[in-house]
Amino acid sequence: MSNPKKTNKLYSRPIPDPDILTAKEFWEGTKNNKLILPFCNDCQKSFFYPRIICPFTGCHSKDLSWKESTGKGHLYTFAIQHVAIDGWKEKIPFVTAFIDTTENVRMLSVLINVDASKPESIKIGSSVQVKFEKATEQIYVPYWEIVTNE
Amino acid sequence: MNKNKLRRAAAIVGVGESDTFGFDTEKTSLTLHTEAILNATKNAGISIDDIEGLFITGGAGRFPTIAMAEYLGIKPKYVDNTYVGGAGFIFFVNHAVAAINAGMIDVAVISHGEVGHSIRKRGNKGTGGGFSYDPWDPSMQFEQIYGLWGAPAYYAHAMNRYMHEFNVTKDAFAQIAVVAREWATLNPQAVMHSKETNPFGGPIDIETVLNSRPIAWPLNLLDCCLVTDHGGAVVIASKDKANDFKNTPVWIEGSGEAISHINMSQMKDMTMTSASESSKIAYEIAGMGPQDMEMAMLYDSFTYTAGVTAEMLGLAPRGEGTSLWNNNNASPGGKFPINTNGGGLSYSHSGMYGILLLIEAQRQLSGKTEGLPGRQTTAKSAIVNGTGGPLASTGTIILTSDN
Repeated sequence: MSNPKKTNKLYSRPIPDPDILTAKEFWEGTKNNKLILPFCNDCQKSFFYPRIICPFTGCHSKDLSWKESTGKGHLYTFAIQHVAIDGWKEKIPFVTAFIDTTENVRMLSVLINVDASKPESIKIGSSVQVKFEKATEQIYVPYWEIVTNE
Repeated sequence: MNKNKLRRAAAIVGVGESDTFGFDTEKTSLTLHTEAILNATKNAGISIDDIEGLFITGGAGRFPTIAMAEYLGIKPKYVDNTYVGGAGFIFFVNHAVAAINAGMIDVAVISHGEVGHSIRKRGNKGTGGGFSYDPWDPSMQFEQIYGLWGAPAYYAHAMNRYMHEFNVTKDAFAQIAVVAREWATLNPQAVMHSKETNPFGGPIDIETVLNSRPIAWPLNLLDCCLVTDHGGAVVIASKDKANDFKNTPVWIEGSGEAISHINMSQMKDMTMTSASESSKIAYEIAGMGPQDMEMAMLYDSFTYTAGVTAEMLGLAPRGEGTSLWNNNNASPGGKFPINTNGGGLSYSHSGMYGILLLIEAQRQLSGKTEGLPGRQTTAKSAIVNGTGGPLASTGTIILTSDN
């Protein structure tokens, strides 16, 4: 397992260090170009981040599994980062975003292929699609891209 | 549960700050804590040996309350180091009221000392040891991998969503920073009081804010609070003892606390904070409402924080929080003064600011700000709200004075 502070020539940003107990399937999925999300077998809802209990009020079941996401969603909000840590400093300015997937799961990520110098060109509510970038042979990191921009 | 017995169960009877504060104090957090505690207990007219309850959240290592008691050479019988970010000091008022009401203690001290500015130069990260940096933790594994730098990186997302939903502009938020600076120019202690206190001090306008360098759009530098070295402390006493001190008691009419999330991916609606819940509890205990408040101290980690908080406390309708700062309403001489010390934006902010909200509210309500021209108000009631973490925790208290 890599330390998130460690980087390599291919990927100079922090590399995720998977929690093998609760997040193995998620990171196996990204490696196979799939967004696989934790799913509660009792209340039948997807959630994120992975954990050993369903976080929804009135459920909190431990009967959990995994379900593949459509990999689609919409842009809930975004920000343009002019200060950053580690290898991200080289990417300034870049656009971070909270994405709501079609399964109603919210994830933080970085929005790619947008113009960070023109915040007004990025529309909240835009449809987005997940992409995966190779960081190491074992780790692929989720990124999101706008597919239609009204 | 009879909540009414919590009303006026305790009062703030003394306040103090570190002997110096601001940039480059050359002090440690423990030194700042100690100066503040000595000044607050002196202000109340008691010895540090009279401290029965000690409430410390950070700036003193991983065991802050014990470390502070050891440093002072005191043995409080009730200790608390709740870690919820800069709102912690408002939570502490709530907890002190509980301990006092339960008959466990009569005199409590809430303290903070933090070298928020100097620690950056000294090369250490973190402000109190409350955070864990296990790379497997969800925040590290799924969020920090995207390079987010501190609080502004997160708050910017909430502000953008708010601007989108309510069609509010950056100018409206910039006005909050402008008004904070107005108060600071009347407060000789404020870090941004004037060009004499800081090269970037003195009056600013909306353009100054909008033209300051971007940190995390839509937040510019002047939308963000200062990062300083500062110590502050307050003394709280039971209602039976409250009149035994040198100061006019400032009564705690009601208090409440609420939490919502720590990872912002878990924050359902970024245009709201849990202050609607913490203030509901505080109002209910106090038997008062927003219409009874004569001033407010609202944690302004960012202009956005103060603006959205005004709505959560019922001081302004949804989508119109920033309007409170218009037309000189919240300014010196205005109808509803807000952040009368100059706020975290222009007075001082060490990283966890909540203690300074309490100190300023006490000073205003007890009539102790005379001699500092222009910043005394006539308010006899105040609502104080702290916000901690990435809009993660809120504490609200309602204060009055019979003065």
